[in-house]
Amino acid sequence: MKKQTKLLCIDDDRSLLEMIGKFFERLDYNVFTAGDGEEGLEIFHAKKPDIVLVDLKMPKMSGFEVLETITKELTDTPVLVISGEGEMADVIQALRLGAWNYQTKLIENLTFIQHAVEQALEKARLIKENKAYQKGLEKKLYTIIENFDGFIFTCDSQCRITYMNPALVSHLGQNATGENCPKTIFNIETTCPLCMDEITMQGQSTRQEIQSLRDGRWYYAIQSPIIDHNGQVKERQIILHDITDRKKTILDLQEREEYLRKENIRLRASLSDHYRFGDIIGKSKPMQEVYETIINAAASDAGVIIYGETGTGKELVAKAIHENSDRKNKKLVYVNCSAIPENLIESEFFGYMKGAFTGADKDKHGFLDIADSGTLFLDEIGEIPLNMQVKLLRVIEGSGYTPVGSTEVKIPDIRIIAATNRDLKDLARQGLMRQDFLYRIHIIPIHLPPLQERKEDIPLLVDHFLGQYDQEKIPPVTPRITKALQNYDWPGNVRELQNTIHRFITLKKLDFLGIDFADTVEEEELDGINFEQEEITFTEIVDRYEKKVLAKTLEKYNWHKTKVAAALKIDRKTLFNKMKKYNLVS
Amino acid sequence: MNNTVSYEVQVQEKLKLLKVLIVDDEQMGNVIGKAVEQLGHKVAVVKCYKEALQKIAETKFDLILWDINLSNGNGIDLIPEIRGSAGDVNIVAMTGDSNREIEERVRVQGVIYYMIKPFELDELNSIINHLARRKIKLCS
Repeated sequence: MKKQTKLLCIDDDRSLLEMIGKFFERLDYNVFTAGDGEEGLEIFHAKKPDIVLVDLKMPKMSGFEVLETITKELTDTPVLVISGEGEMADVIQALRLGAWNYQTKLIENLTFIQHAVEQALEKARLIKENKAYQKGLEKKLYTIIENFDGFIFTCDSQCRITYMNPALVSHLGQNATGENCPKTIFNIETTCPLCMDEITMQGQSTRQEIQSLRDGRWYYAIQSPIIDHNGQVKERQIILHDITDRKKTILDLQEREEYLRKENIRLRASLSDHYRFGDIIGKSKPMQEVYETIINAAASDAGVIIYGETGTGKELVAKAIHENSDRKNKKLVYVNCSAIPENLIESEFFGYMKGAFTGADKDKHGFLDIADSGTLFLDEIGEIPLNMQVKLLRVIEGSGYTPVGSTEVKIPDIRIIAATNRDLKDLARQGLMRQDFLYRIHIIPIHLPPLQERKEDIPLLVDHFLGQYDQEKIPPVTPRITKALQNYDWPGNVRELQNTIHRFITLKKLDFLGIDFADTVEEEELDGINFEQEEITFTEIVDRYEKKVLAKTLEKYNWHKTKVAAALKIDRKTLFNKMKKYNLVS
Repeated sequence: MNNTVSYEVQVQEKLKLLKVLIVDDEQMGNVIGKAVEQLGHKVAVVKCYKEALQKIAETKFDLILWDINLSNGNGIDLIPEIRGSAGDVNIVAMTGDSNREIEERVRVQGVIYYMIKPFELDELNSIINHLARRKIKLCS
């Protein structure tokens, strides 16, 4: 059954009292009436009505006194006053004293008063509900904060503590409300990192790790603004989580990792006979020197320049340096400076913002953005246009860059490894490369030898490349083939060797592309012989030369013997004999 | 005078040097193919990665225009495979669906250019003419 609403009506006009009483009883109210103020208050205290109607003008005790008494005691009980007509001053006074509404005595239609009563009751109900809800919430929050394992405190803009939760009070051994926050909590004399935080006072939360000088422990501090009802930040709250154990583990791990990395590099450096470094294959002395430089370069963060002919593996060296450096967990971005046309190079390096020009409906980040905190490998750096050199120089010197269509200056943290097959100093002399740019990138030079200068590595390389194929599909590698591979000059270096082997596997025969030997063979042949050191006879030299001419001509004419004989202007029979003598078989 | 003419003819001829492979869906591939052909280069158009890998094994291309978003394979992860087998081939990665993560994944693979669709033909022409000129320079 619904609880009846209790209504108290106080008026010295008995007929009006009766009329109102009957009206509300019909509406199922529990009505109490009183003829004067004193009686009214008695009933108020005894029955605790939900709503009070009171006449302002009464003998003995006026409606104002009744109103004052009730609002002082129980402000939540709505009081409506009934006044005579034209007594607006009284009404205003009553409203000031806490009356919720008023009705004039000439109540023509009691539904007006019914409406006022219902409205007041609804408002009272909402206020009550809201208060109960807030109280519940406060209690809940209070319980959470009181029982929270970590530390919570609040402080004002002057860093004075305004609240500390019990856990913090017991940790500090005192309730330091009102004291200076950094000094009390972290034992930091001046400004602490938390207080420096202007962002919080501007309305944003921040997170940081902070070490307390009081207890030496690490805390994860979440600092949030407390926004008052005017939207102003007057205070901030700080939650501290003790992360000492976690932090210690991380620091230990980092230290351990760093130690292992250095140890690893040291151990590898001490292995004098290693035949590979990363993806680079070779055990020759020039390569050992390259490995040494790679190790040194990996341990530093300075700019590296790799000099080497085409196909010597400059990209692999860059990769080896990056993968052994502190940046190994970040990106290594490959750029071929010669392949990008000048009009596109800026947007390719610096990126552009959506809407920078017609057609740009997505952001392009560019090499520098993607390589941020990692390594940028600039291959064929000699081809980079002069105006781009200026802009890159600015980036290297820490002044940053601006993406096309943006106003924001980005300052990336990038390690540059450059590579070239050209003489950069010569380019600088010709004015094609800026001196200042050259000095910036030319800090640790690495010279990659051409394959010709490390022929002893050829068998290793051949094995390595052959190993990448299905072993059953590899045609037999005869001594003749091995020798041919060994003797060839490899102007295209390791890449040419790799391609040659690839063709050897797919075409089942050996061919050397990319050289016109007829023009150069004489000089090369004589250059290759050291008369003083090699014990070699004249006949042997001539034989060697003859064999080479035959082999190359045979290759050139695809082992078509008639054509070869015609080209060399010798008899076919002579050709056969010589081929037999030199063991030249297709 | 005659010499100049013949030199220009030679240059014109050499400009036609590039062998370009276009790997894109049929419609787009043909549009790009036409455009590149109009610049006077040799063009092959394939519409799936499998065909592309086969073509690359048969022919040494100067430039591969590679859409990374075709449905029948992982366009990004195939790039190092091509670079490994085809040596110093120039690859331009194309995508209509760019974001930072995709760009990162592509940029570390060593493509010469990252092209976001839709692009202006001028952008593509620029790259192709640049590569053609570079090839002439290398040959001469």
